[in-house]
Amino acid sequence: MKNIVKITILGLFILFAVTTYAAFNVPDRPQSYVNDYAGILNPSQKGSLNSFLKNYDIQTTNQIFIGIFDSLQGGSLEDISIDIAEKWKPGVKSKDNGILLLVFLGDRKTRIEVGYGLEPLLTDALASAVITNEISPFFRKSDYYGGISGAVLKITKILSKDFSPEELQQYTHRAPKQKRNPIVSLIMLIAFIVLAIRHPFLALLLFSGGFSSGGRYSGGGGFSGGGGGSFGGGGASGGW
Amino acid sequence: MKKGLLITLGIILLLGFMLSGCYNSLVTLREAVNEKWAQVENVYQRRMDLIPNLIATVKGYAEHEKGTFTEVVEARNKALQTKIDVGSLNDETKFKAFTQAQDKLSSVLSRLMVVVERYPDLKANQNFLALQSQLEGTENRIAVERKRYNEAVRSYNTIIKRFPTNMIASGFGFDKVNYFKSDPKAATVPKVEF
Repeated sequence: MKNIVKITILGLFILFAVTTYAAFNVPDRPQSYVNDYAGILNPSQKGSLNSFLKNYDIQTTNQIFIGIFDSLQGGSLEDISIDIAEKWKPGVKSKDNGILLLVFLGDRKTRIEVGYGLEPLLTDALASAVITNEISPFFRKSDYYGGISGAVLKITKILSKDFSPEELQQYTHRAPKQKRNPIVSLIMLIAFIVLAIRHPFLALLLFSGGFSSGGRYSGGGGFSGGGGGSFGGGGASGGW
Repeated sequence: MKKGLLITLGIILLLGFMLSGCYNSLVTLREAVNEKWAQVENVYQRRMDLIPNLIATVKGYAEHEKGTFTEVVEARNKALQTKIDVGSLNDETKFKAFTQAQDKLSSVLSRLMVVVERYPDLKANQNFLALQSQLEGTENRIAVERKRYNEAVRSYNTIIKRFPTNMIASGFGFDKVNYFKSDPKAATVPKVEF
């Protein structure tokens, strides 16, 4: 008698699971910073991004999580993003200093979700500029690693307050379809050099991620702590 | 001391504890509602603060759309005046007035954004683009905080109806609080794709 009950419950559970599969399923809180459910990054690229983000976390306690998915499954980009943010909760609880970079390949949509604590630094306008300038141009050429690493580097730069107000103003007001302004390229080069001087290991990892070397990176999974950061819907959406 | 008296005292004490437990959870849940309401007000205010700058930028390119500007300014003023304090969240009339004022502002803003589509120079203006992304961000924040407010209201409204808390609730003046009913997305700024 008991077995029949168990089987019925199991059957109902399976039925329930199957019928809800059609909707977007928010995965549980992941164990690594980079979560590529669509398989567009190779292990070496994931490794170098994970190392960079782990070191960034250790140094600043800001947590940047990346989620790459195949499809929104018909759901709304903003609704799903906030659902993921509420489940994954990057950032420290008391500081709400988390960032979520999400990519939905099939829908060609991307969103940067910014935690409450970082909203004053990474404003909606800046987040939108990061998508327009760093992600979209590279994604259009299917250079996903280029887009994501560029965005991550730019975000960490913005959060480190290394940009002057004038530089930030120019960044948000840069025309999206123009070719890179040589002054901006120079700024970015200087920014990279400054990063290289301050955190040579990080810069080296990010830079060498571009080469598909067979090397294994030791900074694989695992967080240095944190978790519990809250989000209020700030950030920006975009596509390519 | 008589045994009966002791038992009676014990029962009274137990009831006392239960009563205070119920009362305290009512207070906690109602405070959560008030806190979420404060967040909702914050993000609505954020939208109001954006509007003057937005109108100023659009005016520079679309002077002739005076009708639309006037509509936005009037709707904004109405929304600024139609406030509601946390104590009145259970007042259906006041709550309705508040949501209507905000929804009116949402629809008038949507219309402004549709008008903007007719001015390609404005759409290419970097200042405007930054403002547009801020407006979109604010509308998203409004949607998120409204959702969280509704969740807090659901927890509170459910418990004040449940037995035995319902008796204590009505006794101490804990009334049912209003939900946000309409889907805020219906009045969100539309994004026109080329």
